[in-house]
Amino acid sequence: MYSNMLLKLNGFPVTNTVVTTLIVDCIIMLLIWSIKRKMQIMPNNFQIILEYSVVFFEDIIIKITNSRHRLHSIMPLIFAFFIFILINNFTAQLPGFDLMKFYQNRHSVHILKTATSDLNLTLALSLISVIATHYLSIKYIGIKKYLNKFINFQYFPIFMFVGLLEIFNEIAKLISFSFRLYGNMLAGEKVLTTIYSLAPLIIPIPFICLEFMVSVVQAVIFVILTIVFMHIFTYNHHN
Amino acid sequence: MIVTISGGLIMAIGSIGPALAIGVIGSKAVEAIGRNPEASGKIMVNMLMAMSFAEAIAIYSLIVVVSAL
Repeated sequence: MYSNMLLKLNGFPVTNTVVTTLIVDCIIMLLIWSIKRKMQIMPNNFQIILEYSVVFFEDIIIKITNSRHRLHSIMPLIFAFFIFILINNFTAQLPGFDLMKFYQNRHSVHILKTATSDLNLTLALSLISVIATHYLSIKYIGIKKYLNKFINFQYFPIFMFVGLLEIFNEIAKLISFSFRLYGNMLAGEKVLTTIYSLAPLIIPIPFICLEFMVSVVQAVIFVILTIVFMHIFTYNHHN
Repeated sequence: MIVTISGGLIMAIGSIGPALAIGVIGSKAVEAIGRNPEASGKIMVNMLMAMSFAEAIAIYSLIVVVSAL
């Protein structure tokens, strides 16, 4: 269940989730490259899916921020998040994905494991999201107003307490971002393992469909929450 | 044995709230679709999102159980 260490490169532990992440990266690059090579005005199936998802997220950004100003600063990051999380979530449903393993000191070691069911990856993703939010905030509303959110001496004790709450809110955001994705993928893995051991034929099919739905919903939620926080942090109240 | 009992208690108590929340969200969404069937697409997306927010709280207790084992 936990990510196993496969080998050590110069003291850097290479776990099975790292291997999966690298494979998924290669898949994404190949996919985008092959779609980009055959771009047409009359799109084929894959191009339609990609164009639809781009337009879907552009519409969501415009709907949440009520303008097109922030589109070009938010869109690249969140679309990268979406594709990466989605394809990582889908790898859990590949047939034979869990079966590749070898034995080391009588412990079975999986060669591949879904990367989003490892807390390290989800924590890294949420850290990137939160740090990018703060960067955009400083860039768009200026460092003075940004610091004013957290340290404020107006009406002395009240707004200082609000600023303290804001700082705790950032830590809570990190925890909820990372644990939501990690927990959902881990729960899906556990449910499917139980169902496979109870009834390996036909009965798992609805659960696999449910897992596909959960994968898409979790990827979309991660992205939408990132957009909402970016909007809150880059919104200029005075004009 | 103690770990199993406490794990069961954590999951049982921790999933009361999310279960009620998901029930309320689902019933309200169905009500809204019944009143305004054309908006079912938008309602469905928002319903799924709200449901997964509620579900996340049950997931936190699952993580506590799993990490205690």
